[in-house]
Amino acid sequence: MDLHVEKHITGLDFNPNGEIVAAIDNYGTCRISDVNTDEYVFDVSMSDRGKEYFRIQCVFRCYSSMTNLFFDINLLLVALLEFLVFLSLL
Amino acid sequence: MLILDSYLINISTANGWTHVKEIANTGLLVSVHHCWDTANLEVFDVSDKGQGKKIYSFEKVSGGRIMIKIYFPSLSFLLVTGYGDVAYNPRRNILGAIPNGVKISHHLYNVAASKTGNIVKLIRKSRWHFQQSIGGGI
Repeated sequence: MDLHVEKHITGLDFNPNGEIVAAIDNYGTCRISDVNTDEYVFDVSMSDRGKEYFRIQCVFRCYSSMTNLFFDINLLLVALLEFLVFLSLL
Repeated sequence: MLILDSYLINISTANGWTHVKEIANTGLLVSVHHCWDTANLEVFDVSDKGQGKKIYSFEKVSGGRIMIKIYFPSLSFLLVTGYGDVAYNPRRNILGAIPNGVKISHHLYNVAASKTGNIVKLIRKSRWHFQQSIGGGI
């Protein structure tokens, strides 16, 4: 299943003078508008900025026996060890 | 509350997201509640110690769309307003809140003090502009 949420605003703020409003959407587009005229001023995509070092994934599993559970805990410990080694290399 | 049931899927988003903001020097609190398909705004006067009084309430807003794509064979669309946000500018006494899908960037309110108390008024629904990103630096 894929869940596609239509583009929507996730953050909103004014500048100190209250003349400019910035809004950012869930795709990382930050858009600047003039509060007085409601006119578009500028936008910038933030989604291609920064660098991904690692990704966390949640995996939900059903265990048929305790053996499988302990096997997965072992795998998890190995992954954690690899992650710590990765951090030490940064 | 919104519950989607389709084949083996059950997504429940009954709780939604609530934002609370203090409006400085007015004794007002703004509460904005977003669920997937609706959002509403309420302003409370909490200047009297020990009690709060609702002074403004904004209509429920129906949102944009959410698409549930199931591998076979169904597609579903539902309305969403998103997570939402609220911002206040004390210099101009303006409040921005309740974005709505891709149609409305935010609702703009004015908070004014009068002899009878604080008055909250909707100024306009600001559009979400569709210009292409120019990708410049900030």
